[in-house]
Amino acid sequence: MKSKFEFRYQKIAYLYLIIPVVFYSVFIIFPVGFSIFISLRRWNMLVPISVTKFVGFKNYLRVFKDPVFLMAFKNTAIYTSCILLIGIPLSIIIAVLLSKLKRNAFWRYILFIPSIVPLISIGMVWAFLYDPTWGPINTIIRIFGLPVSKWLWDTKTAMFSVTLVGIWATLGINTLISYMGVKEIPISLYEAAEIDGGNEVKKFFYITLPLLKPIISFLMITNLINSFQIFDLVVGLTGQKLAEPGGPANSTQVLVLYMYQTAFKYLKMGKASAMAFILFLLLFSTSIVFLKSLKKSERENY
Amino acid sequence: MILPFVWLVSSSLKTRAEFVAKPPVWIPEKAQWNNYPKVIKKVPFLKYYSNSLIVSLSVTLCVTITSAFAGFAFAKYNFKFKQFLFSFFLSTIMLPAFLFVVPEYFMFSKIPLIGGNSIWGTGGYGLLHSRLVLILPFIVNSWGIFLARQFYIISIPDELLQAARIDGASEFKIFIKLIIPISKPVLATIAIITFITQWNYLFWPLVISSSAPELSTLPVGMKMLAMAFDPARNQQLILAGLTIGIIPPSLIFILFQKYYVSGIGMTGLKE
Repeated sequence: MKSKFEFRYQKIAYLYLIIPVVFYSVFIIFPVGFSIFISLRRWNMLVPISVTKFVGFKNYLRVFKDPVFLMAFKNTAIYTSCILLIGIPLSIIIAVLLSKLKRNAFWRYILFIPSIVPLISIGMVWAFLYDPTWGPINTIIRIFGLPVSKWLWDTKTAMFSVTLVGIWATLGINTLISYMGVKEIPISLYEAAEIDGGNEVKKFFYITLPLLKPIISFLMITNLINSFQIFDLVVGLTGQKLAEPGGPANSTQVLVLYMYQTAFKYLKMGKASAMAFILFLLLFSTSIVFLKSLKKSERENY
Repeated sequence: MILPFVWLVSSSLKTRAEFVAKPPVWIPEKAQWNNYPKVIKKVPFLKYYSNSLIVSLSVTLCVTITSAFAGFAFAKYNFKFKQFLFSFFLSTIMLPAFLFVVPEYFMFSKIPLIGGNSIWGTGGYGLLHSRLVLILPFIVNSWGIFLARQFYIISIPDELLQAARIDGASEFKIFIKLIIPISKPVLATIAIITFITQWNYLFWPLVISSSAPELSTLPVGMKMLAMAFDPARNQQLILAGLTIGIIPPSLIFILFQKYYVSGIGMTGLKE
């Protein structure tokens, strides 16, 4: 039996936790329940809920039949995989190179700037950089005499341009986290490898990379969650020139943006709530699968 | 990495002619400082600033305080439902923001007796035109609670608490007089990261500002720039506006870099 003594401070503990408990009931439990309720109804927020019609799972079916949703899904999937498969490896390589530099505080700071300013400002600056007529990117390309692109203003290259900025914007924080991981690796391991005649490439693949596994898992999972919810960047990049973000012709439409537009532009609250749940289940199941497989590969290597 | 920002600042000081000149002008001949007052005159940037500042500071204060208390309760006290509450709190980290926008928007519009609402919450706009709507959904953060708890478990020995109790100090007094001063570094880390995140946050403020433009925060204001100036003709002014907007988070980062980086490290490495 647990002694009374152990629980003697129970009251004060509850007192310390009262605000979070109330907060989570009001801002997590109630909204989720309410969301489920309206996802089964057709509602435009203008009429009282009591007069809305119950439509069952129709909203969910409508989401899956919506071509724009499928487009947004494809774009988000491409964006997320590029961040995971190109952005993260790049940041690990830069972190390893940085750790070889003696005075790297300045460089780490420079790398970090994009991670601390509003993402929408990054999007807007890059929208200017990408401008086909006077944008500096095309200007530089012209100096080298290479063919220029219309970047964000061409449906074929628009999502590619967004992804490029996404990689650029997440590089700094990913590099910093990898760098901390690299610094934790004991130097003695490298010295031992040198005695055995290992070169830089071998050291990277046989020492650095295996020991970075936990960091890489962490980066993968956080980047997956963040890129899946990409919103600010697309609004900044494509919301200019008085255009609706997600264009041209939905070629940069992404999931959270489309959900936002469904709710607050088209006022389809039921459909938007259904979409939110579908997105959540998608994100949740992908994260779980991801975590499981990462854990498995970690175990196999030790 | 920094080139786009250098270009941003230098272009914000250009004239219209220099901006579109061919061959391109990289550095303006004479810095056009009056681009900045022009922007501030046309777009209510000071309003955006004060909104962002009030919202971010309030959220930061609340998150830091609630994280300290709740983190301490989880770290040092035993109580019924502890395990359940802790796993519940932790699982909310997984819940994405987009799940809550529609119901919370509705909730805030239906608060009874406020903003012209009847006792049944109908007829008015509730809290939608108050800054509270931008603050309340963020005053508790599981991540902060988790970080504080880690710190208390690792750096505060139970003996210290016992000693203070033997001296006759009450639990609350121990927390305020003894624990808070020791935990300054972790609280600073929570505060800095919360402030920067909140300052940069766009999604919810954008939803709110669509019906209450007077509540626009700075990121929303940046989006408004493209509406206030024709982007095909006044690029340099838009860029000046963006520069004004990115100064505060950059400054805070430069000043408190140590705490920010250690916070990233704590969440990154202790996983």
